[in-house]
Amino acid sequence: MESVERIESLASRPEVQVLANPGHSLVLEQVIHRFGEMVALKDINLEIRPGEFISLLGPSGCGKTTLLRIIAGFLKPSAGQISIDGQPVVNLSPNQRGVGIVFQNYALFPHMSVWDNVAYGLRAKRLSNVNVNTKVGEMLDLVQLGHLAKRYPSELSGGQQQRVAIARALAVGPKLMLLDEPFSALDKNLRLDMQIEIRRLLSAQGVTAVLVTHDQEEAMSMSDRIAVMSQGEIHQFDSPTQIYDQPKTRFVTTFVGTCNLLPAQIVGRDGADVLVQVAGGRLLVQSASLPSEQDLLLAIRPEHLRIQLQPGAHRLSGTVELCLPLGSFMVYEVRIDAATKLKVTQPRSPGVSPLEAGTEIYLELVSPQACSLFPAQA
Amino acid sequence: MKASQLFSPKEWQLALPLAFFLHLFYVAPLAILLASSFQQAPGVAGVSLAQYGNFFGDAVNRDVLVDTFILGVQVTLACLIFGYPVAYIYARAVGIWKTILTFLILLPLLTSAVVRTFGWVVILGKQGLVNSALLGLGVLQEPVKLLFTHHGVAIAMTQIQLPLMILPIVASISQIDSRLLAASASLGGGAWRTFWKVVFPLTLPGVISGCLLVFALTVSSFVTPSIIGGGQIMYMPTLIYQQAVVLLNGPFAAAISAILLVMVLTVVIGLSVLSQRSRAYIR
Ligand SMILES: Nc1ncnc2c1ncn2[C@@H]1O[C@H](COP(=O)(O)OP(=O)(O)OP(=O)(O)O)[C@@H](O)[C@H]1O
Ligand SMILES: [Mg+2]
Repeated sequence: MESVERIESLASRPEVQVLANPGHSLVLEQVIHRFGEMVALKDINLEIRPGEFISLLGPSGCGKTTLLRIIAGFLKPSAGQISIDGQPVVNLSPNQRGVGIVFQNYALFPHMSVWDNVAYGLRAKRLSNVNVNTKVGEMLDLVQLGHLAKRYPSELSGGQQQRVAIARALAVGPKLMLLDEPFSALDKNLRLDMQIEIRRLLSAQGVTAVLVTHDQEEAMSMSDRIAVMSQGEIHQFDSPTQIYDQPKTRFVTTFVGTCNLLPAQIVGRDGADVLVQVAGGRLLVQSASLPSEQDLLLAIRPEHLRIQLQPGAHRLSGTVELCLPLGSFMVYEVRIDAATKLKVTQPRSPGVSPLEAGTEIYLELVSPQACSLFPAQA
Repeated sequence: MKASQLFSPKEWQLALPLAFFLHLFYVAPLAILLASSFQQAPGVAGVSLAQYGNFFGDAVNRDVLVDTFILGVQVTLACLIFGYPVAYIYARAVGIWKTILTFLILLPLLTSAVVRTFGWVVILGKQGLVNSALLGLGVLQEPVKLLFTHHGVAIAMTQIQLPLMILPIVASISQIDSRLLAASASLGGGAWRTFWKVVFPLTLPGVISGCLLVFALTVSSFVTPSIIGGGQIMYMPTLIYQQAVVLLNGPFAAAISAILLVMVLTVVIGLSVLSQRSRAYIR
């Protein structure tokens, strides 16, 4: 919920829309990678549009860093094709790909000043001193670190180091920017500032960016699209709101945001309308794709349930067990049978007292589309 | 108050036993040695610079000092040139290769310098490995003299001191974050640029420690220069031995020791200052 607000706050910043250049596209086709016996990436397909900011989101060990290293050229995939602007790059070495990287620990050269760090890539391109100096000055101004040019990395704060790392990577004008969990070393406030800052910088430069993260809020608030990964596979590649509202697999449903999972059986259908039997009653749902299996799981987000005090059609009966006021929301835990409890969040309005534990209530879906059905066997 | 609080030594107090040991067996003898170098002659009281005058007054002695210094520099440079690539390969090796290389690098340290030196006598001799090979290949018409020459000593010393150069360099290479190398590549840096601008500067502390060890141990080594040099070429340690043990001229031997000590200390301090500087930014 917080993330949704943040998306809006980011999108409303006018700078975000300014594109300096159209950027470059990145396409991965059937990329597979094995470490010995272990298959780290299975059949990865991604099409990233020029100037797009995408996130690879997934739990630890799902292969995010491996994929990033393959894009950068530090690892050669076991199979598959990678192209930047339509040109295959699998056989290019990292220094020929024009792919900038910001590492989790920033990997600044400790023996070089901020200035020399930013100048490194420009000197590697054999630019004249005059050009190097102009560009470094420009980059340091961009990240607002001009006054710290003479410092060494060990004399900078985490946020400053990160901005140097960004400036260093941006200075050479990379076609793509890869960011491997660049915010995980920062404290929460600074992290938010830097997320906005970096998103602004990259969008202003029109650089296509791939961010690796296991923080879903970060992915939600920063990305144009998110690729949700698990165990070497991409489960869904969609915009943050689509990922949240229309998760395609059970993994995505449970990994992104909180979700109630209910064992369910289809008892009737009429066109797109499906009547499902779950513990505590029957619900009318509309699902774009209907699994053919008999045993299903119904996934409902806590905010997609509404509490009613009267029984009615398509309502589940339950008892309030616990009630937690969380800022502008109330979180209820509702028991609908011996084995099943549901989380329900309701907006809190002033003057209305929360429901007591033990109150008999009825739950309904805010809309028939506000849920998803998956096969019970993954 | 608990018992542990009654006896809770400060950190510096833990170093006391070693400090005591060093003072008794190192600092005190050194002080006595230095004091005796200011004697006019064995057993004569009073302070004089006569021994130092004797040393620097004789061209032969001055040559020995210079030769020793040159030997130290040559061996140090040779160890650096041969040792750095080995250290680099070692730090990057994995699996069975690492084990094999560890063994090969450490093996020389595990055998006595005397044994290794006699090995070199066999290799460098007139009918030795080097000459036989070069003669056999037709590179040489007659054997080149290596044994009992400065070059022979330098070659043997290089092999003997090599591990002391390799180990500190290995330590500093393996401390380098591999992401720095990745960062360099992603910025367009090729292999050479990455090596000279990133790897080498970051291994300078290791290089300097290696140089320190090799230099200090080379100019003060006795066995190899005496055997390979065959008593025909003199270095400071052989000169000290001759004066102290053969000619029984204690004060003169003490003065030579002091001069050698000053030479080593000068180089050590010089290199340490460099190393401090290079370490300051490598954190
Ligand atoms: N060099 C390697 N050799 C063998 N297995 C590896 C190697 N590198 C990674 N793996 C394995 O590949 C899988 C994916 O690793 P990867 O580093 O890509 O995960 P990740 O998604 O980045 O996780 P995290 O969020 O913890 O960084 C893991 O199971 C890991 O153990
Ligand atoms: Mg990772």
